[in-house]
Order: sequence, then C-alpha cells, then structure tokens
Amino acid sequence: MGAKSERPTRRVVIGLEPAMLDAAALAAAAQLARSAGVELAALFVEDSNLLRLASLPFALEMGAASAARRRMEATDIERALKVQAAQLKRALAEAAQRLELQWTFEVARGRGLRVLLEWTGASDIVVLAGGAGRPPWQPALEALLRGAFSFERPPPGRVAVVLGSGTEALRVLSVAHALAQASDAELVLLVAGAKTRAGEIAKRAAAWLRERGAAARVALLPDRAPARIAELVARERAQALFLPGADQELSSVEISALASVINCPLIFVR
Amino acid sequence: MTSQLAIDPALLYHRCDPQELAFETTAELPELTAALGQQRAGDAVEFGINIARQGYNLFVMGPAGAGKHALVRQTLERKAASGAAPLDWAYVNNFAQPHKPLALALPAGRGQQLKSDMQQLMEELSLAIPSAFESDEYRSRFGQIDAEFNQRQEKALGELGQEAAGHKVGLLRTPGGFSFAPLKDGEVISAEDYAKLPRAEQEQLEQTMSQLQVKLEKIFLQVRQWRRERRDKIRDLNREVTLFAVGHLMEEIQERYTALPRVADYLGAVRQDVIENADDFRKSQDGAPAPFVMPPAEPASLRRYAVNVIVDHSRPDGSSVVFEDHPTYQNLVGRVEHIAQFGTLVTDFGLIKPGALHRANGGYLMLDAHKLLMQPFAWEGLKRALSTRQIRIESLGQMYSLVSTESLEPEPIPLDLKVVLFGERIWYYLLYAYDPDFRELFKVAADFEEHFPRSAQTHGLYARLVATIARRDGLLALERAAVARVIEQGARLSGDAKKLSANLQYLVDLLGEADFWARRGGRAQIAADDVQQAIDAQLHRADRLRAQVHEAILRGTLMIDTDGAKVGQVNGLSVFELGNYAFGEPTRITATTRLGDGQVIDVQREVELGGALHSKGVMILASFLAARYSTNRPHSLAASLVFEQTYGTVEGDSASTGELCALLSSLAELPILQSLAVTGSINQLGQVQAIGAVNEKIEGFFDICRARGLNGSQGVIIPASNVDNLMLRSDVVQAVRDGKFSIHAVEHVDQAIELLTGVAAGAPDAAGNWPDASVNGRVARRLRELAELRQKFATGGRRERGALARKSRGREK
Repeated sequence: MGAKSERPTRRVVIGLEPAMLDAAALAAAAQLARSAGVELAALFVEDSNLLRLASLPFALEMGAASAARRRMEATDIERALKVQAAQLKRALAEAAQRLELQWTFEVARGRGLRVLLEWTGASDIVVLAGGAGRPPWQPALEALLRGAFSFERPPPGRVAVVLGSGTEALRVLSVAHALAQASDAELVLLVAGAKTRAGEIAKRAAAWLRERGAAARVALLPDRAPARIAELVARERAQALFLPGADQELSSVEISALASVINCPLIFVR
Repeated sequence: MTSQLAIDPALLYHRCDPQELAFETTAELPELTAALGQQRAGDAVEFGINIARQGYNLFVMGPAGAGKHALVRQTLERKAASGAAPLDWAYVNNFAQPHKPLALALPAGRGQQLKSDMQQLMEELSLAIPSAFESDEYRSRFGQIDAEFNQRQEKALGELGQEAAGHKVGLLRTPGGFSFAPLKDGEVISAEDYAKLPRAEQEQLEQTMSQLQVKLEKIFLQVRQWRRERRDKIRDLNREVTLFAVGHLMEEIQERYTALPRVADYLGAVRQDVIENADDFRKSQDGAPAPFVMPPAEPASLRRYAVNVIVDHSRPDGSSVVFEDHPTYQNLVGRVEHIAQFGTLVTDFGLIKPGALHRANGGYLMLDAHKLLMQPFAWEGLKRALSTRQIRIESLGQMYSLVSTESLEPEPIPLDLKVVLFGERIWYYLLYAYDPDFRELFKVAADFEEHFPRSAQTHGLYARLVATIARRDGLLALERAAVARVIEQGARLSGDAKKLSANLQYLVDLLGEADFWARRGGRAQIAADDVQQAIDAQLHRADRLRAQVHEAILRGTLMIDTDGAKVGQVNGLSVFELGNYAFGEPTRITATTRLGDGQVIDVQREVELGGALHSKGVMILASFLAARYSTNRPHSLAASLVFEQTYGTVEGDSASTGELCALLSSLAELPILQSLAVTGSINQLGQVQAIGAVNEKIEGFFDICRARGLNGSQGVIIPASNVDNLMLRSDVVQAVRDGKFSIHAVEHVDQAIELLTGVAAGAPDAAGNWPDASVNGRVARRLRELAELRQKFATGGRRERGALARKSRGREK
C-alpha cells in the first residue's frame, strides 16, 4: 500500500453487451462515476461470435419472445447491432444528462470481456455484471439502462473488497470506501494471503480507514480461487465486489469465471 | 267657484296627527317582526312551509317592493333553524362502474370529515405501502421468487448448454434471442472451417442443432408457464404485504363510519381496490412530471380515492335556505365539468359540481319565476326534479342526445325541499292556465297586498316598521312628525287616503334619502321637513317630462284654456305614468255633432290610438245618449270626439264623463266653462264612477291654473266616490281653503254639466219631457230636430223615388 495507490481514477468503464450487463452493474457504475466525479465510459461490444455464426449457411435464431425460428444473415445481425448501439447511446445520453455525468460511448468488435479488458487501462474502474443470479431473459438493454439510471436504487448493504498486498490494494480500498460512503454501506475486507501477512494488511487498511473516520469488517480469504471468493461474497450478502486490477492480481479467465458465479457486480480497479 | 258640490277642504288631505303617535322618536320603538298588512300572504307562506306533502311548493306573487323576499326568507330561516340540519352529500368513485359515481349522504358536517379522513388515509397509505415493499422481508421473499424463476430458467438453459457442448455446439445469445453454433476451440467455427468439415460431420452437426432447437423451443414454452407462476406468486405476495400495511389503517377509518352503511360499503370497496392496485401507491412517489403538463394536486391514480363534497353543512353559513339569482339549468341541477388534457376533454367524479337544488336539499330554494322561465330548459329541469323527487345531473347534450361521447352518469340524489317561486301575478295565472304540471307542483299561492287599511293601529305598526328599517339600515331616528309625514306619504302612494302602501322598497328609499337630507342639515334626527325634502327631491329628479308638458301648455303649444267658455270643448285630465312616477295634465276634449244615424265616432279609436277601455267608455256614453234622449224616435246623431293634441295611445275610461259633457254642450249649444276640468268614467245611467290617480290629475290642472293665476273660478270636477282617495299636496289644499281653487264631487253627469255650463240640467216631468231651458231640454230638442230632419230627408227621398218610378212607367206606355 504505497503512495502510488492514491492516484486518481480516470474513468468508470462499463461494457454494454448482453452477456456482461445488468441493472445492478449499471447502477453501481453510475454511482461510482458520480461519486468520483469522472466520466462514465460505455463500450458497446459487437460479439464477433455472432457475426461468425451469421456467416454459417444453417444459422438460425430462435426469438426469445416468440420462440419463432428465423434465418440469421450477417447483414441482419450487423444492422441489429447498430440499431442496438444507437438505442443504447441515446438512452445513456439521457440518463447521464439527468445525473449530470460526463460520458462517452464507443463501439468495439470482439469477445466481450477480452475486448473490455484490452480497452481499459491504468486508473480505470471496470464494472462487470455478476452472472449467477442474472436471468437468461433480460429486458431489452435499452430499457435496462434507462431503468438502472432513472431512479436511485436502494443502496448496497455491503461492499466487499478483495484486498491483497499488491501496489493497487490501497487504490481498490479507496474506491470501495468512496462507494460505501456514497451509498451508506458497510465495508467488508476480504483479506487474502497467509494469516500473519493478512493480519498486517488488515491492520494497515483499518488504520487507513480510521484516518478517514471509517471502519470495516475483516474476513480472511484463504486463497483466490473464484469459487472461494464467490462463497464469501454470498455469505456476506455483498452487493458489490471490488477486485484489484485484472492485470495485477487475476487473469481475464479468472475474472470471467468469477463473474459467472457471483450474483453482484464485479468491479475491478486498474 | 263655490257650489254645493264643492268638497270640504278637510277632506282633501287625510292627515296623520303626530299627537296620536305615542313616542318622541323612533329610537323608542320596538322592532316590528311581523309583515305589516300581509296577513293573508304570511298565513299562506306559513302553511306552504309547514305542510309536508308533495306538490306543496309556493308561488309568492304581488307587487315589486312589497317585501316578499324579506318576509319569505325570514320565515324560512326561522323554520330552517328550528329543524334538523340537512344532510351533507358527496360523490365518490364507483370502483365497479367508474362512469357512475356514487352519491353518499352523511350527517351535517361529516362530508368534510370523510374527505379529510380519506386524504389522511391516502397520505398514510402512500408512506405505509412503499415502506412495506421496501422491507427486508418483502425483498427477501421477492428475491426468492425471482431467484426460483431465474434458477429454473438457468438450469434448463444450462443443461441444454451442457448437452450442446457435448456435441461441440455452443448456445449463444443473439440480439433477438438464442442460437446454436458449432464450436472450435471455444469460438464459433468460421464458414471456411465449416466448409472443410466432412459432409457427414456437417450433417451430424446440423441434425444435432436441429434437435437442440426443438428442446430450446420446449424450454421457451416452459418459461412462459414459469413466468405466469412467478407473476401470480408476486401478486399474492403484494396482496399479502399490502393487506398487512393497510389493514389497521382501513379498520380505523371504517370504525368511524360503521353507522353509515353506504359509507361503510364504500370504504370496503376502497380497501379492496387499494389491495388490488398497491402499485399505484408505490409509483406515486417516483418519477418526474412530464413537460408542459400542469401537475395535478394529487397523483392521477390516487384521485379515485378522493371525496368530492358537493354539499357541506359544516360551516356556520351553510344555511339550507338558498336563493339562486341566476337559475340556469346547470346552476339548478348541477353539472359535470371537464378539464383539457393533451387536447382531450376528460372528467371524473371529482369534477361534479352541485346546483342550487343540491345546496337547498333538505331546506328551501327561492327562485325568481321570471328569471327561471327565461332560462332555456331550467323550468323543465326544475319540474322534473320536483316530480321525480331526485336530482339527476345530466348535461343538455346528453339529455337531448346531441353528443354521444361517454360521460359520467352520477347517481341521482333524493330530493326533499320546498321551492318558493317569486313573481308577478301574471306569471302565476299564465302558468296555472297553460302548464298542468304547475298546478301539481305549486299548490300554495301567497298573494301579497299592494296596500292595507289605514287606522290608528296600523299607524302605530307603520311607525314601528319605520323604526325597524331605520335601525337596520343605520339611519338617524325619526321624529314623531317625520313619521306622521311618512305615513301620509304612504297613503298618497297607495292612491287612497284610507290605505297605506305596502311598498317597502319605496319606504326604505324614502327613509334613506330623508336621512341624507337630515345629515346634510346637521340634524341629529330626521324631521318632517327632511321627509318632505326627500319627497320633493324625488319628484324634482323625475319630473323632466312633466315640466316640458307644463311649459308647452303655458306657451300655448298645447292648447288648454283655463278661462272663458266654449261650446263642445272641455278640459279632461290625463295621467302619465313613467316608471314609478306619475303626473297629471289637462287635455282638451272636443265634440262635434250633426245629423247622422246614431254613431259616435271616437277619433282615437278610428286611428287606432285608443285603447279598449277608452273605446268602451265612448260606446257607453253613446248608449247613454240614445237611451236617455231618443227612446221614441230614431237616434239621428252623428258625433265626433277627439282628444286634441295627443300623439300617443289614449287608454282608460276616466275621460268619458268629460266626453259626454262635451257632446251635451255641442248638442245643447251651451258653452262649457274652461276654468274647470273634469274627470270620471260614466255608465249607461249617467252615473259618474271612480277613476285612478285622482290626486295627480287634480294637481296637474292646479299647476297650470296657478301658473296662469288663480282667480277663484278654477277647479276640478271628480267622482264623489274618489273623495276617499284624496291626499292632495298642501299647496292645493291651501288654495282651496283660500277660495282660490275648488274641487267638486259629482255622482251624476247632470251635476257635472250644471257645474260646467252654469245651466240647470233639468229633470223630466211625468210625461218624460225636459224643461225647455235646461241642458237636457236643449239636448232633447236638438236630437228631436235631427230626428225630424232625418225623417224629412227620408220622406223626400221616397217621393223622389216614387216620381221617378211613375215617370218611367209613363214612358213605357
């Protein structure tokens, strides 16, 4: 936890792609951007798998609402993605204006999380949707986005932070503390590492928080296996999970795995 | 001029002696609570108000200013104060049929209470329901339902996804749904790679995907069912939570109204509706208002729980005696208003507005008949309400099917009230004659008098009335002499020395104006002179036309002689009525006579400037002439009668005595004294009958004579039966006392013609012959001459016709 860890956040990034979006993630992203006073950067990811699928001669789509089978054409998919992107951009503009947020909207093509991680860099906060409790049939993305931003959702009851010994630990703690304060939530530190080492980290974190008039509850995290983290998050009923930057502590595969088993937004701080 | 027929000056003005009034000023007098001189009308009003039977509504008629409204209102308010307070009425939403709002009756004052209770309930529900839905328990149970639903879907899709993965096929989300695709290294295989696969493998993959699609389709169908189950569970949960949140609040309010079954039923319906629509309370606190829309006072969805109190007797002024000054159809039966929203007119039960019938229900409604009948459909609307005994709010458009858009049909309200119509007598008799419903619905007529008998007792009561008005209107007290002068003016206004006018409005005005003059003169009390000044000022303000006519006579433009004597010319007396002011002026009447066949031409009638009564008078005098003087021979007179220099319609028969005298003068060739004027109607027997406005007529001739100089020969001949009506101005009375002017009372035309010609009228002897020198003898002789002349003409004519016939026959031979 060096001085470097206090560097300011550049932006809050959220991926706008069906597989990595839900209302809680959107609301958490908006809250973070507002409390940090930084821009909310939205990245609409056109799934390359879909485009590839459309080029196959037998590609069929089964409508979620109608259960009707439709032939998939590459041009139709491209058009549908463009329309979806335009709708999302408009909805984001309206919502951000209402919340007085700075915002950007960009479109990229590739595989969801991979593109998102490539697109973000140091000082970014990346928000992903937890996949465990997410229903397969979501409302239209545009409606989801409007809904998430249109009213204040109930504040998260608990904010969990995976705290390691890396250089980004204090930054993660700082951002999580800001969100917990903004939403009047309890902070829970999931401290990784051996017992002695974990104790030291927890002590330093507590001191850091005390200086700011705050406190946190501590839970030990024996290892960083996604299943272990998910178990603790579920037990604590956390409504947001903060992780250190993916390039520092967890691989994108691990992040993907973790995101698929927790049922709250996953926020990693780069 | 003096004669035996001259009236004693004491009879010219019936004074009210101040000494008979036992007080110094009106400040000493107690107030008069009863209506003076209106016993019959008062009894009728009492009867009409107290009889509790259908159709016994009142029609109060009589002259303007008689105090009809005041008396009736006073009586009604007394009666209303002693009776039970009428009910409050409120319209509320009908949850089963919203276009038919329900009418609730509540004891006086409880309408506002219910409204307030419902407002408070809504406020509490708006807090309690969202709180209940934000509780951990609700969230947890809601989450469980959601999670169960999601898990079922996820499980089904997950299993399908795993099955697909076993066949190297992936399940993908697309913009519109799901799809299956062959995978290679975790990614969808490209078209090129797929093309390189062996044909058998391609077919196998396609077959697998086809089978997976069938399974996915089944999952979709299952999801619909699960979604329905989820919705039902959430609805049950919401009901349970709402019921818990609203239960005790609803019970509190329901307990307050258990004694009112209709209200209790309504509250039961509210409870059910709240439970069914709890979302409205949750949404009511969210969301920003749409632009350009006026935000409603309460959320639109909660308006249906409001209470529209249309009749409220909670306030002290919530009297059940209502006077509707503008009785349009809608002001009577109420209306349903609309508000514009996005260019469309919308309405609900909250926009129901009461009419006068609602406000007066349980009490009394006073209406002006003339105004009521002038308003389209108002009379019909009132009759319908009284006949059906309920108030049904219907727009005219609905009633006559002019519009077919759906509107509200508020539940009719039972009607129990008395209606009091005020109007002139003509309205009563016309309605009675031509509207059968009227007879059924207005069975009590209260007829107000124009005047009442004058006596020492009524003088005393009149003084108390004056005192009451002075006190009520903050006027100075009146001295005894001032009251006496007011009483005398009351008699003058009634046109009868032995009556007093019942025109209260005039009295109020006179007292107010006398107060003005007294205050201007710096007096602490109103004196007789102040009353006189008020009367004089009233006349002065109103007498512009009188002054013009007066001037025209004095300048000779209108020819009126006041001295000398003329044959066939007499001064008649006319009265002009302009609003509430009347004045008399002399009018020259001339008559010419000649040989004829008995016809008396009334020139006024010939040119259609004579009214029916005037024509009748002329016909009567013609009949009198024929019957009196030509019983045994043909009535061979042709006569013409003219009201000289009149340019408008002449109505009334008060000039018929003067016209007859002019005719007699013409026939007798005896001049009539122009220093006299005559008024009175005549009958076929020559008797002189009473006429109206005798005071004004006398004063009109007096003013002309005085302007030209009173010489003692001038005077007026009036019917003896009018002596009781004399309340002449003091200057006229004084002139008579001084012998400068005279007023003669006659009973028969013979007396009048004697006064006018100075020649005895004459009485017939036993054979029916009149003395030769008398007026009648001269008239009879002249008529005989005319008859003989006519006979001579008739004989000569026959001879001529006979000679011509003989001559004709000779030529034929």
